[in-house]
Amino acid sequence: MDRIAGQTGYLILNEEGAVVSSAGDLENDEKTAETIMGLVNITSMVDQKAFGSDESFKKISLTYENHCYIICLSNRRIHVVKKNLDKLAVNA
Amino acid sequence: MEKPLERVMEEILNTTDVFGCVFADHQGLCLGVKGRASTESAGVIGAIAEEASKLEPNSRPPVIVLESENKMCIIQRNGTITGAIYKLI
Amino acid sequence: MGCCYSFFCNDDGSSQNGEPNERTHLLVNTETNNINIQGNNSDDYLNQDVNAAPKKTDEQSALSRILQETATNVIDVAALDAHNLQQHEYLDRVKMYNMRIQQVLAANRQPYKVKTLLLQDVSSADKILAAEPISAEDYHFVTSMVSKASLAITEIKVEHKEDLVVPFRIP
Repeated sequence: MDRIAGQTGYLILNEEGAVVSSAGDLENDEKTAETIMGLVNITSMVDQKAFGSDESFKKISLTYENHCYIICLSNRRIHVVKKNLDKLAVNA
Repeated sequence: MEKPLERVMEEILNTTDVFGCVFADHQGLCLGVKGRASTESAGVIGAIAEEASKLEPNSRPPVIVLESENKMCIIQRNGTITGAIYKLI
Repeated sequence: MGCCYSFFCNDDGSSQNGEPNERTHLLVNTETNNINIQGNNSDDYLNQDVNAAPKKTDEQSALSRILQETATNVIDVAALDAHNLQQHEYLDRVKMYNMRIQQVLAANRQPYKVKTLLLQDVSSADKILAAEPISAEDYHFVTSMVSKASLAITEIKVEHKEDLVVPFRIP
């Protein structure tokens, strides 16, 4: 996987949650893989009124104070990237 | 006693591009809803926040964004309450 | 008894206020008086008997019907005994059950369903992963709104107006 700016780790999972490849902070991180799978499998529909029954999401991101995780599904693999954020904390 | 929450929800909806918001309590029951949002989603919102908080149990709750083609759903937990704001991109 | 009673007592001692005779009631109460009034006509008694009997047989038949139904439907767990299965019988049953299971599975076999996920499959992940998760503005907007809401929630509390549990005061 190409290096993304600020990337500190990545995980690639298959549809069943098994780790296909990982690196950096997320190397062999089964716990994170499990949580991510849990998150992704919660539901296929969040709010029918707001998003409609056929609208699904391209990405899920979890933003902490100075880092974040971005999750997306591509070619039947779940990609997770952990990267640093320096801009957010500054604009208080 | 729900007026303060009503006021907050009004303020949220008066923001540009925001079209809905939902608030759930620690059990996933709906505390308030405004705009194009449904009370039933409170459970799911709560569940998503709960699951996401397991990623980094020692950090403050993250801001979760579910992004679709032209809309986003921003979820955050604060204390016992979880809020979701629906916004156009 | 009431029948005999009235038969002999229709011109009884009660009509004569004076001296008691051999027909005078030893015990006077309202119940016996009522029986006297009702039992004057012996025909009535015959009719009553005829009416009483079919009711009884109806009840009996209804009861036995209910009993029969229950008996056929009841499963007496306590009485179930581990039937001593012969070895070959046991094996036969195992085979039969397995066969049935296979039949059911074969009938219901479906292609492995893709799980419904929160996410949709996109062709290129890189652009999505490289983008920023959320704008600083949105981040601060949401965090401040949710913390305001969290404060607002503290206003919601139970107002104790009346006691929910009230003791009954029975004098």
